[in-house]
Amino acid sequence: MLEALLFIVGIQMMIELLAAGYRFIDLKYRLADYWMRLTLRALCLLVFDLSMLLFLPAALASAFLWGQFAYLVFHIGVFWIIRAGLYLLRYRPDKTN
Amino acid sequence: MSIVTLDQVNKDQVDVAGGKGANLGELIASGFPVPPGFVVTADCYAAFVRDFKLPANDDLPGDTAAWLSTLRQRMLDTPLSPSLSIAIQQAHEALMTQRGKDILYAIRSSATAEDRADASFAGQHETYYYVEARQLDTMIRKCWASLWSEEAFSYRQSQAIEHRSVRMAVVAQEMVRSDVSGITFTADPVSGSDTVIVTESCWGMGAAIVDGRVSPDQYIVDKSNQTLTAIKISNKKCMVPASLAPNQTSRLQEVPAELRNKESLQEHHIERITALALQAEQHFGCPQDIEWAIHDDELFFLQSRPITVLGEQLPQVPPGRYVLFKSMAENFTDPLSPLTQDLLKDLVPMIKMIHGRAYIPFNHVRPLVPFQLSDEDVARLAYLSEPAAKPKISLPRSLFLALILIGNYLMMAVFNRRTANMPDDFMDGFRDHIDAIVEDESISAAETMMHAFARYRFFEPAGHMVLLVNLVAPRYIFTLGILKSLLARWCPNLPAETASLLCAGTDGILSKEMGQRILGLAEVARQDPALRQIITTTPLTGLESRLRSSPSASELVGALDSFLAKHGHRALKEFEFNAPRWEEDPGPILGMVRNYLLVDSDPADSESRIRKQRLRVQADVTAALARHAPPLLRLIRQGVVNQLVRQTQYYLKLRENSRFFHIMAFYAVRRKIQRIEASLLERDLLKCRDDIFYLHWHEVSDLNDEKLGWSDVEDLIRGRRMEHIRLSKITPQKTVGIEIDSPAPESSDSLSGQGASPGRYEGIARVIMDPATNSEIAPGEILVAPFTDPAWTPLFLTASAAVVEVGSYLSHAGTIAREYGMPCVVDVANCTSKIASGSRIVVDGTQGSVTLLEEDDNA
Repeated sequence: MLEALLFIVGIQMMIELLAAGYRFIDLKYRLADYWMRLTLRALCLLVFDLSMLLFLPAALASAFLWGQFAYLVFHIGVFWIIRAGLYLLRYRPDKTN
Repeated sequence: MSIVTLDQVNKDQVDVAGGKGANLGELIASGFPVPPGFVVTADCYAAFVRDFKLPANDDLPGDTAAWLSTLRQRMLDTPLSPSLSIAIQQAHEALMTQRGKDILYAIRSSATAEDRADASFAGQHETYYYVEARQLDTMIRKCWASLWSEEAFSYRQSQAIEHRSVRMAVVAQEMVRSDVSGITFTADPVSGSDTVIVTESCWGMGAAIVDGRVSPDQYIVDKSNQTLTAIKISNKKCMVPASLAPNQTSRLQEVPAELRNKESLQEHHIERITALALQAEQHFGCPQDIEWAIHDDELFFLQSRPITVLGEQLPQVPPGRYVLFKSMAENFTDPLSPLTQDLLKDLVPMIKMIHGRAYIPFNHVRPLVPFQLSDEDVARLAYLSEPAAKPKISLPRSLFLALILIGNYLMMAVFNRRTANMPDDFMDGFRDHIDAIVEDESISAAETMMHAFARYRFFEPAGHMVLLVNLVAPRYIFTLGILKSLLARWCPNLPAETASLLCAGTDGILSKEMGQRILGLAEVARQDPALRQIITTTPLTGLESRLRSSPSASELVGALDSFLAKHGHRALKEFEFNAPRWEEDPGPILGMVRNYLLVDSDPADSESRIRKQRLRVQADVTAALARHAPPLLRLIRQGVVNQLVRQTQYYLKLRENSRFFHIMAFYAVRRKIQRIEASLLERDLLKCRDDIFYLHWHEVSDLNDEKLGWSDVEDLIRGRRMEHIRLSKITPQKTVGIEIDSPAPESSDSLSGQGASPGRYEGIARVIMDPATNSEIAPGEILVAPFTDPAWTPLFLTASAAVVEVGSYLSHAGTIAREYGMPCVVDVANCTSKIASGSRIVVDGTQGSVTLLEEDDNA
């Protein structure tokens, strides 16, 4: 049960980590104003993430890590699946009706 | 008898002169002013086609299109008999002698089955203008060939008319060099109401109206007392001039700037047309559709025929069940042009276009509703966006929906987090992104939307993904819902609309800023009386050039350019690619500036009132929280409320602002289409601007590749323009294939809709159908509109309440009304026809009702 919970927390952690990373791209145009805030946020998340991995018992840490890994694969996979879908849509036979 | 003059025929001689010729003869005999002419009788046609051995309906060849094409070509290639050619020439000479001058003709087809009360054949047979005597033979054969066009053929098929039995006379009538022309219906052609006379007019020849190329001025006269009850002046961009300039090949030309928004008819014209139209109706014994022309202030009737009620001829709907795509319908109610339909379907393949409007297949909606409801109730729910009365939860459907929501959460979770608490300008980079797409010639117009909205790189900045921003923004529905229920629990005595009022007044909403900047333009103009005079007296179409050439207007022009640099991609009906953007035609903006100058309003008062109202509500909430909780708990609750208000305001802003950027992509598509259009016009493959929007994308591609030519698409364009006009007069069905109960009949003094912004206001109604042509609303008046989009926002600064025919709580009207703190009721069916400008009404945005007050109540 606790493993399942940690798996979900791992998913949420990866969501936060990815979002924190993307923020550098999203706010690139105002990086001079935001770099410190963004870096701090990313560092805090990383520290929290590493702490979880270090201090949790091995089974729970593993579930937490699998949660993160699963979401990372899902996130990348969804991007390419959508890409492929758009490609198929572009070349579908009837585009007029 | 091969040729007869028009004054020799009457209404009983349809077999001889065809419907049009017989009617014209009858009009002349009855003393109506009709230009003289002669008729090449239907017998001549019969003799002409005798050798063609036309088959009976049961023996038609399989490939009718090819057969019709061959038949038409044969008709064009076969010369008239020498005796008929001589008779035509003699009739011309006789007419010339009678008129004492050389004559140019209008050559009109006049089929024996046309202009019947049950089948109009409107626009299906040819008419030719500016025809010289030497061209008569050819044009007469062309008219005969038009009897066998695919459109006319299909129409006869649908009406079960035996093709062989239809014959065609041709009317050669002296061409009136119209200064103004138009059509008068002695009953409303859409509703069939026989209490009004509807007149539509335009500059030049009436062909521009008949072809659907121009939005005419419209005059509505009460039949009982013949008083003018409504006038709609349109922006008349094109006209067919009365004479062609040397070397002019296209019969369409642009209307001079000073005439575009000018009334095409004067009062005495309307009186004369009305009187004669009534006389014609009385004479023929049924409501008439009359084409007329005015030359040198003299009125001529060109034809009169029975009205066929448009509403009875709706094209068929496809099989299946569909629900109107409300988020598009609430932004404008007109049908989309064929090209817009094609390109939107590329982006959202699931939508189905019916009567030019976007519908969603019902089977896409059904699984998303987790309640035990009938299909009819689900359709109502999908359209009305309001829960049915206490529906029961369906467990299987709830589980399915939960799975969808979890999947959606996982897919969008990163993006949700990325867009939380971003600075207001984070989507500004989308403008450069769009410019790059426009400049990239490898991306076609059809692919532009996909590139702008869906084809993202893995590391694309969130500000470039404006469609996804729009999809994640409705989170405010949850935060607002939570806020409402918490306030109801923690502050039970506060009114229900407190949460909405608390979340209004967000800074940084671009469409709100747009209204304020237009107001700023008016303030610049107000400082200089001479400039004010120019703006309030110069016709809108020439105003921009006048301002640009006037040194005293330099500050205003600078401010206008700055405004257009930011908001120039916006337009009225901006989902339609055919809608001109403000950058192309800033006339509507200058019209709004003029409106502000004409009315003595101070929107600062309105803003101050809104600010005070919000502060009062905030104070009420703070006091109520303090009354119902000990200090520490009060602080926690206040913090939760503040956080929910901030979140709601932020996501509301995100939704409204992402729309601002969506429209840039629509403009990008338009720019690409315009590029193709310029090339097609240059190569003479198209003859008139905007015609391209009446083609399908594959036809545009074929034209561009010169697989098609102008002659292949000319009739298609004309037919589709006519169809577009017809569809635009029809209120779209909310559902197709599913009957939903009509709401209970309303009392004559009360209309119901959805409350979109709370509050109650009593005042004078001002019905505005199109802010580009009429945007005068006085402070304190109530805006009554068919729909609204951001182009309407400036009107909200002057109005004190709003009533809108379509829309929902989330629609533009609701969002902006809440921002401005004014009551607003949306989804009020037919409010623009049921509420008259100048009448006193009460708008209750909390209850979602509008009450029409009697004269006695006005005191």
